[in-house]
Amino acid sequence: MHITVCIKQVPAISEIEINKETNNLVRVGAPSMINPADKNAVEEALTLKQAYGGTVTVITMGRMEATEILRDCISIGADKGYIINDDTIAGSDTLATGYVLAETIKKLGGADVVLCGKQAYDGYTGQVGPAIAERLGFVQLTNVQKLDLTDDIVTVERLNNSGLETIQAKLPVLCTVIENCNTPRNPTVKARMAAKKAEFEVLTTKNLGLDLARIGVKGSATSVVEIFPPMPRETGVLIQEAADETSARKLMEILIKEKLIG
Amino acid sequence: MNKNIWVFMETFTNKSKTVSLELLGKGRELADSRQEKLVAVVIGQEVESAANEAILYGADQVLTVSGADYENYSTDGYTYAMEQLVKSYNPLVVLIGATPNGRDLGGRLSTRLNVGLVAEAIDCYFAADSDEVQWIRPAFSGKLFSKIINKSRPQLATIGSNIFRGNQPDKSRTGDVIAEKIVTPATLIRTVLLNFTSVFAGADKVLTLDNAEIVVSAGRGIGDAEKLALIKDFADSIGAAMGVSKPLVDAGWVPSELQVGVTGKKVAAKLYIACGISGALQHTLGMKDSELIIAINNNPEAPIFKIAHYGIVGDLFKVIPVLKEEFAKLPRIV
Repeated sequence: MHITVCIKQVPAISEIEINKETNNLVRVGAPSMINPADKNAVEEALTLKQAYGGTVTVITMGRMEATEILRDCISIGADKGYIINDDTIAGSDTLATGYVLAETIKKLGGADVVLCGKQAYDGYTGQVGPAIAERLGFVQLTNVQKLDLTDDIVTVERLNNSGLETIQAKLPVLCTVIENCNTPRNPTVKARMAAKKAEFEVLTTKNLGLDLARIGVKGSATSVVEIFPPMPRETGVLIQEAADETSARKLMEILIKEKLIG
Repeated sequence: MNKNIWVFMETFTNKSKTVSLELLGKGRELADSRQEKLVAVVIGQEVESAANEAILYGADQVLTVSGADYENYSTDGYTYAMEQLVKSYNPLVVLIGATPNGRDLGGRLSTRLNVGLVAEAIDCYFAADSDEVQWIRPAFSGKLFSKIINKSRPQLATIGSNIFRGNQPDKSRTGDVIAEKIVTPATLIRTVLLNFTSVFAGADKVLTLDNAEIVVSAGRGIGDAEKLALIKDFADSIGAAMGVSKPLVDAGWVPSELQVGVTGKKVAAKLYIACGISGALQHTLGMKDSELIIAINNNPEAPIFKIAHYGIVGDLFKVIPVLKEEFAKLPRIV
């Protein structure tokens, strides 16, 4: 069985500050980490591998520093890692990103199970998983909190906001997992040392044979045209009538009139 | 030419989800600003009542797709139905609630149609004299906002619950319902729903700071521990969870799970009422993202008034009974 996990390196948000004058992002020391839900996706892949055999391939798209999260995956048992690094893919939206990742999975020989985190911590769109599934023609199961496999039939528990679904489907499938679906394992010191020697093949637009018209800023349907800070909050309305009861009634009148309540 | 504003109506047990009704309100606004029609799309087993309801909430037209295959949401079935509808009608904009099912459908549909999607938008409007929508969404965990445009048509977006208020149902509204016969070929639906456990089944939902839409919090200004009962009574009467500021926990009046603040729970309530809370940063950082903040404090200089949208300077024990009485007259609180 071939399991592929798509992971993303995200900035540790708490460290991000905004320069109030320039509105630019100040990345204090720029610590980065594997997207939290992707960690669970990797754990799920390793659990499947232990139970049913097979290989776990980890793919990421981004700056070369992102090989660090690939290395972390190797240290806990992933077999191979690939990084897609190319200036031409910078600025890809979810539609373009889905195209790049799906093509990569195809080029690497396809998969029986593709796992992703439910959403990225920095962009929280949750769109890339379904985009990959569609391009691969796979069944998609999103928001998965439990995954079981019997032969080529996968049974998952999927959370939607009305309740918990138990769904069955035949492989191949793409699942996006939620953060509390498992507890990610930690590497042993020895495995961590060994992973330092791991090497990762760098995939480019060219060696993947990607259509340049479908990637990067040019190939994206959506684009960010402006980044702006939140409006400073206006000073609130203060009510102080002679009698407190009158103040309370006046407040309620305003709230109803402004359609803020009721 | 792409025209009209669509809202995908997510249903559960044949009833529309609140987020979809909220989107009809925003969709109405978008449609009116360009003299387009607002079209609701209802897919399900029984679609009639949801279709009629959509008209009351603002739709000019409803497209329905019904059949046993659509009783429960499935990615394959719903994507197929939406794909067929979009291809035959060419809408300009499609709004989808950013629920687990809406996000599941949105991502698949966007790729199927090869069009862009803006996820989790918090505002949208047409650029002047243009059929291009400008979508606003938070960036970098809310520290900044980004404005996004979509060059493909239709322009797809998902929008979360409680972003827009929606309109009140208007019984005088009329609209036409068009039943589209779309049967998803059985081989295309590749998932089987074996079981479903509703979150509404079983024990009554207990209101906590984690799930409440309304929070009433008490601070040192209430005076003594006995007065907490009055705050709790007010909270119960408007369907709110009760919270407190740190000094009350430190004083041992209440357990720490009721504390709102940096070292306690962070809440983003629809309505937050701070009673006798001075507004130390410790507290305000835990509640500042609430949509509507009301503060009652007898000190006009209290920092809480800097963060509150509305404040009453006065004795909270005179103010609260009036608020309780007035809220009781409303059909709903928020």
